Amino acid sequence: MQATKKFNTNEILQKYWLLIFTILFAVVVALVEPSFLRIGNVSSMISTACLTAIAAAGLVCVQAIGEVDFSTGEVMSWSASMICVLLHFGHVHGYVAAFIISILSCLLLGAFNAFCHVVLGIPAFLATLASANVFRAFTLLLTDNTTLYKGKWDSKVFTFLGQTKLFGFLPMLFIVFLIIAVIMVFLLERTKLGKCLYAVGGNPRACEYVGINQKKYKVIAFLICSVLCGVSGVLQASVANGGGANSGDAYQFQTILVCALGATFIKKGISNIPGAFLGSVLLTMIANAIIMIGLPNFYQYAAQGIVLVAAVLISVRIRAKNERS
Amino acid sequence: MAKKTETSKISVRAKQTPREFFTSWLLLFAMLVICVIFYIANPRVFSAGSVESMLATASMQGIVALGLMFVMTTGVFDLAAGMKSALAAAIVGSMMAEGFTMGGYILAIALGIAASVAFGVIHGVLTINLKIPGFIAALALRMILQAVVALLTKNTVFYSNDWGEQFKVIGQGSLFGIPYPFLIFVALCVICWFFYERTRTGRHIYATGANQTAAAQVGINTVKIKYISFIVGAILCAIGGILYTSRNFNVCVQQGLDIQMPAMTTVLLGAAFWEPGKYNVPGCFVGALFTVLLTTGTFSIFTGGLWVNALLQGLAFLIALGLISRTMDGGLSKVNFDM
Amino acid sequence: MSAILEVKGLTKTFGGVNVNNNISLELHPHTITALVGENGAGKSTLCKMLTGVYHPDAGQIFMDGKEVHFAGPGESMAAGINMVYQERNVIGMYTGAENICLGEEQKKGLFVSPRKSAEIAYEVREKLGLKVPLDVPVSKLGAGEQQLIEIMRAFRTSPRVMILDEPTASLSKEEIQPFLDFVKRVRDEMDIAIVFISHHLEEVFEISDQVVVLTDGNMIINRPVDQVTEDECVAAMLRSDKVTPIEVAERDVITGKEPLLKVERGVYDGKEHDIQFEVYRGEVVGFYGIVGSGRTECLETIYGLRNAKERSFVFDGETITKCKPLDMLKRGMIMTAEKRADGLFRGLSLTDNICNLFLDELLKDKFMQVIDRKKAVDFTLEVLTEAEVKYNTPAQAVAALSGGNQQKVAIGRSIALQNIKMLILDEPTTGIDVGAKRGIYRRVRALAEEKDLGIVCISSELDELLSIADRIYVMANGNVVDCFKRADFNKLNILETAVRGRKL
Repeated sequence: MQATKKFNTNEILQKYWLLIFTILFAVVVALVEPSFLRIGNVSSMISTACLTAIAAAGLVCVQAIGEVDFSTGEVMSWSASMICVLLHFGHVHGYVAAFIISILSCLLLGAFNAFCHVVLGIPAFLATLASANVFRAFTLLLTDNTTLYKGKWDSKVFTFLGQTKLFGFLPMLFIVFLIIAVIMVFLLERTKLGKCLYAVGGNPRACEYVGINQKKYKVIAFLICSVLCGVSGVLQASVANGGGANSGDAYQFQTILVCALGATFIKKGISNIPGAFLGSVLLTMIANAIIMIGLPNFYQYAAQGIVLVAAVLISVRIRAKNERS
Repeated sequence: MAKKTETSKISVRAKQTPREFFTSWLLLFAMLVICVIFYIANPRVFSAGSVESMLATASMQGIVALGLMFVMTTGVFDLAAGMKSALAAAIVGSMMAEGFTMGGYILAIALGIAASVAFGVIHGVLTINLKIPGFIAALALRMILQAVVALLTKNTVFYSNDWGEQFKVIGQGSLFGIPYPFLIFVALCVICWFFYERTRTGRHIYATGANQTAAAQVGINTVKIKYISFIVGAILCAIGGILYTSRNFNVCVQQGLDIQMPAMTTVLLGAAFWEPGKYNVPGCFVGALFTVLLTTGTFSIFTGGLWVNALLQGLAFLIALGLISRTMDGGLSKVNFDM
Repeated sequence: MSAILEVKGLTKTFGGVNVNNNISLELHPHTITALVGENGAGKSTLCKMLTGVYHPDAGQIFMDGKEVHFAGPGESMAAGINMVYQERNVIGMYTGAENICLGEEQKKGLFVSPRKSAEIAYEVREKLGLKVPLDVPVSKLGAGEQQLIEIMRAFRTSPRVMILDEPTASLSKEEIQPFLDFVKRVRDEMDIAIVFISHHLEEVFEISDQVVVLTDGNMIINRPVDQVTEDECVAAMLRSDKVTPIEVAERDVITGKEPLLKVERGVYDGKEHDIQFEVYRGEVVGFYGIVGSGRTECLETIYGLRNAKERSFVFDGETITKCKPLDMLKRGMIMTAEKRADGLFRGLSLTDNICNLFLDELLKDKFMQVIDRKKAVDFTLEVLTEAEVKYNTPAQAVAALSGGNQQKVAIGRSIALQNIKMLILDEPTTGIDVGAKRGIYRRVRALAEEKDLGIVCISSELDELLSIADRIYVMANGNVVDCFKRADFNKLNILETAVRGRKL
């Protein structure tokens, strides 16, 4: 009996270590520097984490089919710029309309990625590297290489989603993220779409045997990813009260990093949204804590890199243990 | 059965089909066409100063690309290459700030290269021994190196008055108008070409990436070869980074981040040139010149030039990739993105 | 002539199974020794011990009279033992010459000289009397020519012992005879010992000097070719009955009925195959043949997994010429994968693996396509219980199950298909222990007899088919060669048909 009990604790530790580590981290930092857990600080960390997490939710879909998307940052820049340009130059009246159009335009970007990968047969990592360049070009063209800030729009409405804090501390962004996360998790876990996406990534060959149309789901995955990155971009613009071609740059690698971390949470090697969110929270906390403690900000990169390596090592160990054949 | 064939009748390599010939020279051809177009549009693109600058930039980018090429040949998508180059530069920069004289430059440079090699080996350990997916290991290393370089450069654009004027010479000097970096680049290209195509180790690096099983079957020690590719790659990246610092006379974290994408583009474009489907040295050479020319040209000609540059880079990339997938069977080494 | 290589009492055990048991033989120069045996008899294990990939658990290896221990393939190659494998592994973008010199490229001074390498390569080619072009990238050559390149590569190091693993497997009909002549020439003119692994007895008897038959890890025959007959070989290849056959009464399900599946024509993989066969409801039809006989390819064409230039068959009264797996699933036919890894989603749960086949039926509502979880789990439990799978929870990864249980999952989910009429099992009991096999056999019979399904069972274990099939089709070289009814089951005859590749 003793042996099985021990195994269970071990297992739980390995599954939930990301959550445990995040909580422990927060506690330790708070002990060293109590202002870390100040309401204002916490809500600002959550805001930042949500922006990454929303884009990561999209990337999770692409990773579910077994590919990557390197154009996430540029799509975000595009949609952030799009909404600014639409409202600033009066092409569209009304925030909601601009919001919707910006996000829908990202569908075209996703379609481009899907075309390069599925139709032309270019490996996704290369195709999206190339398309990142192309999207950047479009964004630069759109914004005429400027960054629009505090433009001719009603700032109150524009920054509503990004800067409002409910009850004084809960960022509106978190609500938005929650809604998206719930929808996406539901989609991925409970619907046929989700099952098929994971099936394509799980074993393309087996999909042929059970009659799942790989191409269709690959296209859908890229479309979803671009749309969600678009949402993130628009929200970013809301937070910053402006946007330009560089809006998404910082998020490019963050999304991938966050998904890699998230893949070590519960699902052992499969990218997932709760994990990605935890990952964003953890990374944001690390960045924030480093500053709070008084270390120069670049230490966050080292910390993040080390956490990533540790996370993957654990994940690799779990997977090796779990698979017999 | 044992007859000796007349050596004069042996053909080492068959002639390429017209289609293959066209594909393999397309990049160079495209570059020449673009040269002509740019010249017509704005002759100042080819002024002496501009050409000097382009050659120098292409060289630094190209040397890092050579380093990247060796690692990518064995199938590792090295996102940390740029930072390895910045690391070497940072070490050199901070050591010189401690007041090294001419002789000390050699030591500083040697240490810079050694540091880069050390991280190359760490990358190898992570990927080969600990079996962390190569892509993730590169991502993590990139971040860690960002911190290390920031530490060394005191998180700013680092420059010190203690850097002697002699340090500038290598990066900013020129011989009959040809910048030293370019001469070094050409020299390195020649050396790398010989190493990659005409030594056993270099050929084994390619073989390990192309078909590891075949390499193992003929007795090649694939683990050792992979480590060698990491080390050689790190050395080249280091040289590129140090040149960059010498030329700009400062070093910063951004340097490493900025050079990553151009180097990556160079290597991948180069794979569409000369021997489509295989990373190669002439390809890196032409690819570096091509991307820099494109960037410089579009900036000079179009006043809002940024977008044109990005668009053309992206399109060039796509065309190159399309060509590679269409012409070559068993082409570029497979890159793994499993988590 | 003294032996170049001698092995005494070589034994190797894997996970309790004795894969090579006390093997002793000698390899002499100017001799072709044929190594014969069914799949799993232990041939490749023996060769891997000779090439240093595996270390023997017991026994000794002697080269030129001196005992040797190979730590790895490098050492055995240095000692002069070289092997050409069944699967091709060449560097596509290198020319033939470059592939031949791979590993030991020829130098001129400090640098590798392609010209010198080419010279050496051409020399090797001359010595072997071949005509394969050496100046084109090998990706442009056919499988047969690539194999010859690999053989030349192995010869470049002037080996003393040369092992050829199923060398004619990837050759076209026209290429086989020249190849056999080539091997004979090598034997006559070069001072080396050749080991020729093959299933094809006509080839074996045409060129070999010594015949070694391995069965279940034991060496049954080791005699000069003129002291053994083909019949003796075939008899030796028969495995001892390890499984008590299950009771199967002779049934007649055919008379007076229309076939469920009637195959007329198939043109795939570049040529026309003679694959006319029938399957009736309520029977188990076995497909036997030696490895490479084309059974999987044939059934994959029917199931729609393989692209075929032309195909024509009648399934359940409907004539079909174009199909994809999804179509066949809807019509009630399903196939399991030969390699288990191809058919299951390793990292996904049991529930997912089973339900991925039935997503449309488990939907709660059509619009959002939400899956009815309870229904899915209930369904999964049903399938798992009926298939007698040993598992922890339906949420565990399928990769954590044993091979046998994984197979049960694959079969179990297949037969849960609503309108299932025909089930194609491809090597369903590979790598499964004896007890689990019996369970599967019982299941298969029950499916045919009680559920009136038509079942096609592709297998390389003749005993298995003799035990559970009502009829057995024998395939060879991609064609259906003969059919045996249960009443006429004769192990020797069937094996001979398969091995000879033609009707007796």
